[in-house]
Amino acid sequence: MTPIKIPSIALDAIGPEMVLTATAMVLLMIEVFADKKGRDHLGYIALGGSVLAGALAYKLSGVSVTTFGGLYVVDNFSTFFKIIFMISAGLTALISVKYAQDEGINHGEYYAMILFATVGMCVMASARDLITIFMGVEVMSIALYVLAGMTRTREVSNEASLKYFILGAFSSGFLLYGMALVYGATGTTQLQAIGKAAGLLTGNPMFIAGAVMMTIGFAFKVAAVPFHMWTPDVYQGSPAPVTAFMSTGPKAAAFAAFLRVFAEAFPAMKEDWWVIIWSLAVLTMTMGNVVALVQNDVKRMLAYSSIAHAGYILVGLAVASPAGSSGAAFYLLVYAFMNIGAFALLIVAAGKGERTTTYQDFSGMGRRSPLTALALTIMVFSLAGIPPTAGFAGKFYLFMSALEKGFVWLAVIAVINSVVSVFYYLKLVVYMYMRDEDGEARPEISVAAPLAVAAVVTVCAVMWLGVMPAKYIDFAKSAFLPF
Amino acid sequence: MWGLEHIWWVPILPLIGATINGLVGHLLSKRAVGVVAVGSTGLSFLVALAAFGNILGLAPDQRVYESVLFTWIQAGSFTAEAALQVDPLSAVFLMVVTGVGFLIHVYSVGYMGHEAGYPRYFAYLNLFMFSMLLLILGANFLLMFIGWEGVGLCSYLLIGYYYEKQSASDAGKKAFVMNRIGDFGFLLAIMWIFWTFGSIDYTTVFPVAHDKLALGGLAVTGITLLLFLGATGKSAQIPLYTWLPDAMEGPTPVSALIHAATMVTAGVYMVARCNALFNLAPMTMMIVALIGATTAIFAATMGLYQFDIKRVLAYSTVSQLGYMFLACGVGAYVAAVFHVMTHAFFKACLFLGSGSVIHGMSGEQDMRQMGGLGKKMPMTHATFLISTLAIAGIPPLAGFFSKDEILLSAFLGHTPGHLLYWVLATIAAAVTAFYMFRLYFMTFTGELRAEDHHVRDHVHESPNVMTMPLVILAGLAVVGGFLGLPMIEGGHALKNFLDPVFAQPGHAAGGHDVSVGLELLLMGVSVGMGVLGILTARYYYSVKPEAAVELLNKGGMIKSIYTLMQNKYYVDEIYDALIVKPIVAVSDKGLWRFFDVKVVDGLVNFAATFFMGLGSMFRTAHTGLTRSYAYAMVFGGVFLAGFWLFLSSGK
Repeated sequence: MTPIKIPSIALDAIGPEMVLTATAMVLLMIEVFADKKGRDHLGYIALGGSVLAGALAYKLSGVSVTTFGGLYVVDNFSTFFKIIFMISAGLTALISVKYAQDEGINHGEYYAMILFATVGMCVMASARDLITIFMGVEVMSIALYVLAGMTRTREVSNEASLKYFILGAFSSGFLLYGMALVYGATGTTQLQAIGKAAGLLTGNPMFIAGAVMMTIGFAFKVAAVPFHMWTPDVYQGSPAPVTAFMSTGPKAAAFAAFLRVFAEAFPAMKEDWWVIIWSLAVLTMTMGNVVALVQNDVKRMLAYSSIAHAGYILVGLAVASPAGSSGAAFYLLVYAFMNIGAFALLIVAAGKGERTTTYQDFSGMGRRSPLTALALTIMVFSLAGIPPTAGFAGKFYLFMSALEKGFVWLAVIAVINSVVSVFYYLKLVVYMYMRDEDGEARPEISVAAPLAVAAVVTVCAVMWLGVMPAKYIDFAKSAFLPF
Repeated sequence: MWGLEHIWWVPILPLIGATINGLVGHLLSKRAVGVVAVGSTGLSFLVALAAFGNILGLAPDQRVYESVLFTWIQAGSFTAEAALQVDPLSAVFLMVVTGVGFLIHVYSVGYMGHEAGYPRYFAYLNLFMFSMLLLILGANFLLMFIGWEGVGLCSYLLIGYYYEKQSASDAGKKAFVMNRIGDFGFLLAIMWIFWTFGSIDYTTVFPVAHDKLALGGLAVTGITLLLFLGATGKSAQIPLYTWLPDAMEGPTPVSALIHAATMVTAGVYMVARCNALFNLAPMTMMIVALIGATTAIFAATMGLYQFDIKRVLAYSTVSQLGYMFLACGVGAYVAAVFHVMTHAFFKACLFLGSGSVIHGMSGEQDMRQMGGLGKKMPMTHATFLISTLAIAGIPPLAGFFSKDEILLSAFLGHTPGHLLYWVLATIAAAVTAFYMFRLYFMTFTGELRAEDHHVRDHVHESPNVMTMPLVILAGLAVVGGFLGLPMIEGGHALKNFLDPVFAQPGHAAGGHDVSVGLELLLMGVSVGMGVLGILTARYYYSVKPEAAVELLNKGGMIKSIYTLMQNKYYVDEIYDALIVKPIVAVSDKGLWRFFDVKVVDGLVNFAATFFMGLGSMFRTAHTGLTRSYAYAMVFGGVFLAGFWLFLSSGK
């Protein structure tokens, strides 16, 4: 009997994942021993873990390793995304500290779930094998289902969790079934091997069906129309920091896997699939923006805005060029900062129990809390893509990649959409600065220190990435995928 | 060279001022806020002055200075640098914007002294200066666009400054949305330019435009039309002009700075800047001239029967901007820029003068309540009279020279229909003289008509901080035109200065071949029209005021024309009837019954209503039921699979 040959494992390449896992487990253990007061500091441990993991990931930039017998790859693409994930996880931990105390969910498992989800996200970005991808998706998703229902006493939160779980399971079914069909058609689960086999399989119905099913699975995860239906309910029902997290990190992870699968496994089908992704992109951004116009609740508006942003990012996918994929990656980085920043300020404004999140509740904020209003204004300007914020640089870079490849109409539609989006973002600014308070009692706005730090960090990042984006765009450019 | 090398400070200084007043202004004393705001603008003016001196010191063909701060965006073949460019065109605008801007800041210290939110006002005003300077100094289209958006935003914030007033915040919204329509055109044009030239730098695009684009071809016509759409929004031309009269809801210094002297001329700047493109598109040029001439006469007649002193000036601004576009349309860019400059002087003076009047009248803006103010407000009266004469085109004041040059260019132009434009513009000159002197006589001569004795007793001349800027601006309105005095070797000082910017490859930038006799004749006609307008106004509003009433009481044609004009040709109502009403009617019948949109304005609401309606329709798809979501996914999946199979079977 020959002994099992264990493939070489480059442990230094998965440093970030190991740090995250270890921190999550430490958090779970501390939870057992910590007293009520000690739990207030759990968030900072999670933040520390994310920062350390982020630093390790950053150190891996430029490194290109394939390990675990070809299942796992560390390249600039995965590294860039991992940095986004760590930013998303770290900032989420930061904005959760006060929120978790207020809502009574400052338990070790809350932060552990964020970190576990982040591990799943890292796996998704690095996986080079269908099974590994699926594993990453599930590690991430299951943690997110739990996080969505974290505020157990709030009905909407329970509803969000259950809905997310049922529909998520449904979409996982699509994804897994698609993978099975692709495997059936090609005889392999390895992405690059599939890519090689696919050249001979044009028009093979089993292969096409598999690719379509996988597209549906990913489209669900990135909340592309018409697979977006879960998003508004789940985003609105989940605790605000969790929504901030879900709309940035996990969305970026889904895009990472989506991009990698299409770039490495299905490049032969580029001719067909760009039409599909083109349509998804147009539908998604239009639907997201148009429905966001009629929302009265800011949190729900941000949910639709997040759908619209997924549409913009799909532009990078439809273009299917190195510039497109790095444009999408850069946009996701920018989006992580601006959306978490917006949510941090929403948490500030909403007060305990998230009672005040309608537009009306923001009236007079310019005077009640000038700095909060100013920071939120910068965030929504960035979301709207108004220069010189990062949102503008990101959109510009992304749409330019479409123009370069001759996707003129796609770029024009995207620009029209950005113009439409200005209305609902600006509505918030109008309420803050041009409406007087309506006399209704609202909680005093107090900005807890961690939220203030998060707001300052995101404002600085959004301005810096907007004014001096060149260096970061260069980094994103080194993180392209060969289409 | 000290000056040009420090050109970055010109926009940065007001930005610093805006940051200080915006962030910590509420902690500072009013005095400190004023010092920061006025000081930063003043320093900016000094640096600009030095830079202007440097430019003058260079040889005419080397008067282009570019200063690159850093590479802002680089993506593939695309590069956008954070770079400023000073050339004769931007230098002229630079002097006007910083100079007039500084004076209006000084004036604001006095005018806004009693207002709450003083730091907020100055933060916005400084931010406006920054954006406007970026707009004119940016070395590529992207920077111009950022400035363009920035001035729009500040204008919006300042129009809605008295946000407690519903009309003010509505006006702000209207301005914002109308400008978005124009901005959208501008953005598309930039994309098209990049697509065609592979660059958005002025220095790369303009020199090769002649070779890359076919004369009158689709590309250049499309680009220039989109650019001009942007200009009509920003510069309030037909059909996007209705926001400007409403914008008078903002504080008066804002009307002077943003809605008369600087921001609204950004469209003219843009067209002049892109002259290399516009020259290649004869069709666009014709449209520019047509829109300009039409707007000039249309807006002038609307100014005839307004009673709000600021609204008269607003329509007059729209009309004067029309003259500038007419000049661009017939290729007389120098005349357009000349008129931008002189107009900035006399119109800023008129607006600030009206502000002084409103200040003295305790906030009253209705001219029917005024009269006889000349005796009580001598400084305001004198400066106002000078500026009114200037806008009426009476020699030797500034307005005469620039307006005359535009009329001459229209008369001699090559654009189809140029004689018609000349006729329209000449009639508009008479109308302008009439309504401006109507304003003058109603306000400053006769008897004070205000009934409220508090107002009557309170009438007073404004403090020095307000009258000094008036005096300086009136002085400029007197001498500003001399730059346009003909020199020995053809052309005049301003023309010689600007010509390198507007020289066309293959054509010598020469003056018109025109006999002195014809020139004098045209001059005589335009001055005659002006005098005619003034005398008519004098007859009806000073000598025999009852004649005007009698004329109206006769009824008939005159009465109906009067009603038509007083209602601004019902344009708002037409927009409302054609666009808003049908949509609302449909929505009442239940198709879009979900939205309750407040009707603000036609075009605005068309966009808003359309998308809102769509949004509501889609929103109802979100039932909240998990099973229907799952069904949607299945249908989406089936559709996707079918689509893909359809695509792949096609091969």
